[in-house]
Amino acid sequence: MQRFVEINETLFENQFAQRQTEQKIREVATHLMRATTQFEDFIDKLLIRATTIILTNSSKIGAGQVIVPDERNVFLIFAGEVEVLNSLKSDVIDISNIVQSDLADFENSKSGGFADKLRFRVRSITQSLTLLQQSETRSELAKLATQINESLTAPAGYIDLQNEAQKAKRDFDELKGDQAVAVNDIDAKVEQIVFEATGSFETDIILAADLTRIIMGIGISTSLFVLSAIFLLDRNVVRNQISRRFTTMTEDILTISKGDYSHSIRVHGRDELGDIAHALDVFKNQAAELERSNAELERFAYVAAHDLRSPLDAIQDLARWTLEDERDSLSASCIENLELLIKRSSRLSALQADLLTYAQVGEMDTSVKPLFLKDEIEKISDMLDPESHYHITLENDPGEIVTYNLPLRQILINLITNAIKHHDRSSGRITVKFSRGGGQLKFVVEDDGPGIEPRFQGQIFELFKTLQSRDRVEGSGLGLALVTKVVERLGGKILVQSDAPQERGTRFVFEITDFSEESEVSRAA
Amino acid sequence: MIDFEPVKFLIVDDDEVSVIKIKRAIAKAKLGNPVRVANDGIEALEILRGDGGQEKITPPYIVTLDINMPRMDGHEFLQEIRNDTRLKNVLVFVLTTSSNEADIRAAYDRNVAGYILKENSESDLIDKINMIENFSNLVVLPK
Repeated sequence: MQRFVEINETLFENQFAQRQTEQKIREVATHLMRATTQFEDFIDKLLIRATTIILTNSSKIGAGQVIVPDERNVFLIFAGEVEVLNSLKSDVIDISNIVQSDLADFENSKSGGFADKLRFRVRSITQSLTLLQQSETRSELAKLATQINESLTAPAGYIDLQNEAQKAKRDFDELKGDQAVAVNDIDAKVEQIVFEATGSFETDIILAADLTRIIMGIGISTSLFVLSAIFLLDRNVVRNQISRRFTTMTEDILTISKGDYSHSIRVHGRDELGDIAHALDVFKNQAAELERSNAELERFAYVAAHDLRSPLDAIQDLARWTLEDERDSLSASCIENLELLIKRSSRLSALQADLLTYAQVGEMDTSVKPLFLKDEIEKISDMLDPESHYHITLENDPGEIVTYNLPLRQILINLITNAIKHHDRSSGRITVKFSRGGGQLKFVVEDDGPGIEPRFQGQIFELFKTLQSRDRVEGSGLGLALVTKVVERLGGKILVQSDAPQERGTRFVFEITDFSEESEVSRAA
Repeated sequence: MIDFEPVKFLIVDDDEVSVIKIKRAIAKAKLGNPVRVANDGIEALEILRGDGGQEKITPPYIVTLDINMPRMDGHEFLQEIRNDTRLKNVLVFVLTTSSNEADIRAAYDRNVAGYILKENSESDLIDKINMIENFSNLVVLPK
């Protein structure tokens, strides 16, 4: 930690020194620029003068005028001077360019081999100056050249300062590296605290104290900086990142909920959101699988309805026609066999019809409408027991009720059919008892048949379970399973009550939702 | 002039037993109507047009049509005759086990005289055949 503090202090000093050097370099550079500009201006003036003289002379020559030897000398002198002046100009422009590009590099924290180039140009200028004729302008140029040379090469001159700046920059980079190592140390400490958060309390205190020391050591301002950085990161980066992914995921969920199971989830990651996305992917696949198997079941239902039924009907028809047409010429056992064939295939037809109904419970019309319970019971009674062997009655007639019509009819038909089918006497009583309460309609279908022993009561709601041989009582074993499925689909429940063999009779009790207005009002209250 | 020639039945059905059943129902209803049988839509078209080696059926006749058949089903057959200027007026009763809503709608869209469900009960079928026979005697059929 001590090291971290030291590094930070050095870094601070280094940066302060860098700023100062930078400042000085800018001052010297400004000075240099001024000198080079003056130098250029001077050369330009000299060049104009020399060029004018040359042009004047050459026009005389061109006009065929005789040039006196003196004049020709002047011409030659100036021609040579123009050459020197041009070389001087290019040197000084070079110096100015190097300094300018150095300054630009300085901003970009780059370093260049500038010093050697500058020294070379200064030497070149000095040489060129000696080639010029002795004149006032030459001494002016020489003065400026000295100035430029001094600004560049003197101690604390441009080249010196630049070197200093480069060194400071190298130190800075080195220090930064050291600082990163120290910061990693601190990170490790923090991680250790988090990691051992569930560990002993003592360790926590020691580590927390450690961290406090570290933070104190780094200094309040640095801590504040770190904290605000974390805060900003948290608020802007992390939050934006999370909210963006949430938006994406919401879009994905909505698309999938519309049934587009081919849509892939675009959110990934190792955080909670990534976990949710993964779970959503699992749900999506299950939903797609469910949809596929439902479609398969529907296809099966159609095949069962049409393709199974026609051949079954044909078998019964053919046996019946044979009996119709040839009864007189058939033996007694042949007639008996054909009759059994008709019975068994009828049983198969009944099973097929029940299976189809069972498979289609999911598609059953569950619209809620008012109905008169008494009328409904009477219709079912006429259908199931047209000769009225059994006394089928409704107790506590509610008049009109509002509930799922078709499912209720299906349940009542199945329960009353069972009561008749399993009755051991040729006549008896079947009573439907009605009551309501708690937003539910309660029905009890009670018979005075032999009853069901408690040890068998658990089996009766299972698929294909019958308690008697199918030769004795025709049944698919689907009736009560179907009732259970319908009741449960409507959110209700069904149970059986019987004390056989001590007492006769069976009671089936089930509840379904009451949609009448009074019920709605009481529920709302 | 009223034609007293008995109406012919063209039974279009791929199920052999089903055809026997209709024939028996016609016999039991004591109707002596002549019967022709086609096993699918293509054969029915051949009988109606008198091509494909089939003898052409002459009016008056009524078609009883099953829906689910191989090669050309009931719907395709209906579409074919309704687009044929010489056959577009043919009287067709659908006689099928399919109670599918889409089948019923599609059949009436192509102007069938009635959509009749084939129940397994024989007496029920006799009643229906009788109804068709009575209907064909009461109305004047297209020539």
